[in-house]
Amino acid sequence: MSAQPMSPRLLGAGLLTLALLTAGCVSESGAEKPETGKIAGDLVRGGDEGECTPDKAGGSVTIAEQNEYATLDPAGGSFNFNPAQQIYSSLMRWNPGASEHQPLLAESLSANDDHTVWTLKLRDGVKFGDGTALDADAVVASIDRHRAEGSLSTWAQRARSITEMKTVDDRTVEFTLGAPWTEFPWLLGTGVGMITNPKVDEKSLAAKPPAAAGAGAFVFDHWTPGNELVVTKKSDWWNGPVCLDSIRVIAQVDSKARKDTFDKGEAQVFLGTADLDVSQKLIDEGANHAKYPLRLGLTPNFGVGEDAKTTDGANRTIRRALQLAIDPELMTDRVTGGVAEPVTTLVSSDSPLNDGLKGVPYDRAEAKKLVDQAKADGWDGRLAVMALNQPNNIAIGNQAIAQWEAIGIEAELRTVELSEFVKASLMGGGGFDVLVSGGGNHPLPECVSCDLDQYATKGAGNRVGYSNPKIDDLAERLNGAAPEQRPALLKEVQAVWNEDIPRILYGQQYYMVAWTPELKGAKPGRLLTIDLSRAWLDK
Amino acid sequence: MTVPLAKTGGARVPDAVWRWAIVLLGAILVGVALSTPMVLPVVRLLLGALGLVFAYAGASRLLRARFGPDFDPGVWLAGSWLVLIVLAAATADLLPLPESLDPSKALTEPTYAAPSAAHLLGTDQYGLDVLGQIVYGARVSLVVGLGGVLIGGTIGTLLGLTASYLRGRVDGAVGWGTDVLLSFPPLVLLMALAAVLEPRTRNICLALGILVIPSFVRLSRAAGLKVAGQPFVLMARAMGATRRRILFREILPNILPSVLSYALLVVAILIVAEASLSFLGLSIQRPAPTWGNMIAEAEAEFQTHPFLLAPAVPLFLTVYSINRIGDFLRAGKEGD
Amino acid sequence: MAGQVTVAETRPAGKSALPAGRGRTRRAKTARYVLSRVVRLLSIIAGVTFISFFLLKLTPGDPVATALGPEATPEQAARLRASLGLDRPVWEQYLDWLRGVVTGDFGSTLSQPSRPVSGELAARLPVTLQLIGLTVVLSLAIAIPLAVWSAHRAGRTFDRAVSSVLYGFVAMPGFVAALLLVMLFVFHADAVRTAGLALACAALALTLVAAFRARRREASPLPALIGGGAAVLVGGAVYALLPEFPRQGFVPVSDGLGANLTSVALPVFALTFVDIAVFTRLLRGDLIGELAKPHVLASRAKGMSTAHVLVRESLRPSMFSLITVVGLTIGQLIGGTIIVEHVFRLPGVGSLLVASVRNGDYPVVQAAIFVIAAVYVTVNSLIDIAYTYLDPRVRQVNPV
Repeated sequence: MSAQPMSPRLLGAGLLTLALLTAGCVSESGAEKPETGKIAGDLVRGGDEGECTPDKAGGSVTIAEQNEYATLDPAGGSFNFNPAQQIYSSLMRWNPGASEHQPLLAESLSANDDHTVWTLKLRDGVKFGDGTALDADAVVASIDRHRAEGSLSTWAQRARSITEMKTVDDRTVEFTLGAPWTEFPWLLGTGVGMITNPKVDEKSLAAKPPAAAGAGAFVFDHWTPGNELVVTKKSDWWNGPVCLDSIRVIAQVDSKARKDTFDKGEAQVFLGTADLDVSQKLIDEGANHAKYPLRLGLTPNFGVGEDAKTTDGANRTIRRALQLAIDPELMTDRVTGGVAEPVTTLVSSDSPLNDGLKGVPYDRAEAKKLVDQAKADGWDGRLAVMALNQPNNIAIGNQAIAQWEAIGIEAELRTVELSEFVKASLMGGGGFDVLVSGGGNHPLPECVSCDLDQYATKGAGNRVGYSNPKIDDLAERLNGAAPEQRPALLKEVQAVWNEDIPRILYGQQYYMVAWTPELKGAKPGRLLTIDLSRAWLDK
Repeated sequence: MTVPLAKTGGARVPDAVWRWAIVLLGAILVGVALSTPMVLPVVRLLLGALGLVFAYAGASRLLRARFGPDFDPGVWLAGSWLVLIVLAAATADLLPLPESLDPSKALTEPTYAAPSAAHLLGTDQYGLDVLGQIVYGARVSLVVGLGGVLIGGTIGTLLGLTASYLRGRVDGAVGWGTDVLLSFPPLVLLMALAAVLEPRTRNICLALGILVIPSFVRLSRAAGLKVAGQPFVLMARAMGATRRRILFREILPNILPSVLSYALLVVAILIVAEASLSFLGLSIQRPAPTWGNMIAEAEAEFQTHPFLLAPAVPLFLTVYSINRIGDFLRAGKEGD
Repeated sequence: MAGQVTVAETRPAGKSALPAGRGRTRRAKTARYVLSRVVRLLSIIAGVTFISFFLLKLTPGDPVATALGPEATPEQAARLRASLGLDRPVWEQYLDWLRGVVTGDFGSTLSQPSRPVSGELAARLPVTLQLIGLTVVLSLAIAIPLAVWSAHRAGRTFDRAVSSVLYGFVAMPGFVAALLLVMLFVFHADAVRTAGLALACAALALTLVAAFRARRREASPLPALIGGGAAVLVGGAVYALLPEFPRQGFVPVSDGLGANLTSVALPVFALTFVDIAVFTRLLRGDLIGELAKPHVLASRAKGMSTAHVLVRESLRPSMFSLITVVGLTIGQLIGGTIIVEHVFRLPGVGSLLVASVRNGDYPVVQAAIFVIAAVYVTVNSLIDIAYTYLDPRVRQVNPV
């Protein structure tokens, strides 16, 4: 060191450099690109390892979700699937590994020959928290809340397909449907199948369900919005010992931060949605998981509410041009880091439902021709695209717009907050032509008929105003189709789809529930739910 | 600034050699850090940092020996950085940069490319050039910083000046409005404004401008009060000068220097504020580049693609430089 | 947010000054002064809530839609909207709200299930207050010694080094600081420990060298030993005692003080950066001014110890403007912890505000803004009042 006093700016420069270099050179090990996995293959790893026994008791589990939902009342609108699953359990369970609907609180669910009458048999000894038996009357009363006029239930419309419920005896309920529906068991695996105690005040269910409310293994403890929702175990559950002391549910919107939380061991269960590369990384790193294959796409606005007949989404020529201009390879590469499967088919190539489906091929020249044609017919060549203000949605919108601009469309992205987004997609008036959205919340093969129902004119969840008699007809046929008939029907759907473009597709991805291998006996259920009533932590 | 202890005459020549040696050592270290990809990144980082420190130490000693002990190379560096960034932002359209604005023209470019000759800082998820985006992002940052200050500073100074001169009710009303604005949580004000107005550069300027009005009101009111009592103003008043003349010819020029040097610091604050807004997704949206939204987008990917975080560096340097120069100017003013 | 901290220096203290008076007149005047402040305070809060109410009504979006979720139908939305009274004119809604606030009722949340807003706020406020408290205390604990020593060594190596580093602190946006802290302390804690060890060793070596040199020059080695010893201690503590910091979340004190402190440590560090810089620069400036004053020079000449001169003679009178700025900082932090709450997923007022603005949950936003504005205004008024009382000079010097 020189004898002169060191220049103080040395330190300034040092700090500066440090900031510069930290920013520039943090290439850490283990941060490789995710591998391209299968979409519909290897749906489940781990789970269902057995049942809890008293010697395995202890420990608690944190579930890291993406969003905090609003209510714990199964019939109360958008609600907390995972805490609710622990509190109420459900009559049926979709088992993604076995690809079938299985009884959970129920003993059996069987249909008559044309799938219009379903008979539910309840298990003996199922009890709510206060010791009341979960009997046929409780089931009818609970499901009636979903069917009621003015019900806020997410499944209201589907629940109304039940025209009549009859209690045959204490443990048997007979459901009569208005039309054949082979996938009715799915409904009893959703909130409709979460039976609430009729003795409990309905109003208390939303924020503070009392211990008596549900028949699940856990009891609501506390919920501090923005922080955590905690359920604790029932000491004398009717179905045997409960191993986990408590389950904490937290919500973290940013998927990278959520993964950090999981990696640090602060959460044992991870819910992965839009950011496919993050999900795939978790799988690569050895997490147990259940995948829920979903389509990637953009939704044209066919005109709902104030938008009716004024949107460009309702113009089939434009819609076809938009679809043809999209290069699935490029989209999936840039939006999901190459993890998604770049196809424009309804299901992925490795799905059991795919019997040689062929999507719309990428053809930019044809797309350009169609744009010119539409412009000749009086279109101004402008397109308003609306996306939720989230990095992933914005990226999808921008990538699609980049490709549409390449064929001479002037597209503009409008980003909106959730409340405006839902409002516009619910009630119209958003003035947009194309919507960047998950749209299609029914992963296949969980409920094939529900998926297509979103495109039926009067279907549940058809919010963009799409209407096509051919699809209506196919949706009805799918409702009544036996499992082995579905691939052939999907082929017919695809043919209509390719012609009419109800949705602009570019790939197949999945949503995912992942959990650490130390968590044993977890039961993944329908989309993004996991039942931990018999689970334990391996020490 | 203190003068280093004078050396005995004999040490003069070895001193110069010393200084050159330090510079050289620094350069060598930086060179090593840059050219050895196989060494651990942490080690390279340390080497590079050490090298820059040495180079800076040597150079600053050389310069001080040449220009005298009061020469402050830090301010010169800060100044050159600002000049560079302003020039780059102004001439961005003329620079030979790869496509960095329109994703539809970058459809064939590789995404997340590592730095190379074609893309000096690599590309992002749209295949757009990161360096180019930093340059264009500088434009947004500077425009927002300067624009916000221009709007807020003009309105705020005029209000504060008027309040200080007219006193009475006007002063009360202005003071009340100022307190209301100050008590409003700034980010909520920005969020609400961002939701009402569309997130474009102009509107962000406007929102940030509104946000800084109160501080300018207070500054100019206090400065105005001080000046208003001075003899030359009283004299002008006694000579029957109009209000407007007194305000704009007599008082304003006198408070302008302190307003301007404060404004410079506010520019830095606003640049950070815009970046923070972008980080929360409330400012200009991708693909239009701003430093903030680039960092926000890079947040999820930077462990795999560290170069995406590059915009943090100009952000840091710019704010650092502005503060540095602002304080230098203020110190100079006080010293006079 | 970076905020407008710097203005504080130019801010006049009490607006309506308190002329010197005696006995009864003085008390009456004081009462009137306090009363006028309270009226003003209330009017400011009313102004803030008024603006925010109408601004929020202008924002697009529909709380009903958010409450029901993306699967709802228009009919469900209309029904809920009517039941919440959202189909009435805005004026009516604001007056209703105001009436409620006066009676201490903040209403219930629009997002379902509907809960009392006051309960929501009460759950969040302690988190934010803890963040603010710790941030201010930690910033002061670091800033005061730095400022004192910088002022003592003004223009020397230590002073210049400190001011260089502080420039860096100011230039570091809060979110970048937060991300860097997460990267270092959460995911590379080992590297931090090693750095701590290295720092301790280097500091030890340098301290010894400096002490010996001081000995040789027959100066007191104490300053070098104290400074170096502190660095050695900090480094050693980092190496030996660095706890595991969680990536996210908040642990209430009831679950253990240690867990609570580690859960807020990183957010607090991220918040202190700017405050340390602001406090240090301000106090250093004041101290330098104070040190040049005759009484200080006199006691120096009398041979009083450096510590006495620095702490007793200079620090005390210099604290006034620091207190003002600390008050302003508290006021700003109450709405300014949003970014760290976002990054670290802390259930504070800031994250509640952001979520509620995004969901269009007006009652919550209104109540939160009310509380923030109230705290801000109250803290500032208290400081103004205290200021006029504590420093008689202000009363005379103060304009107006």
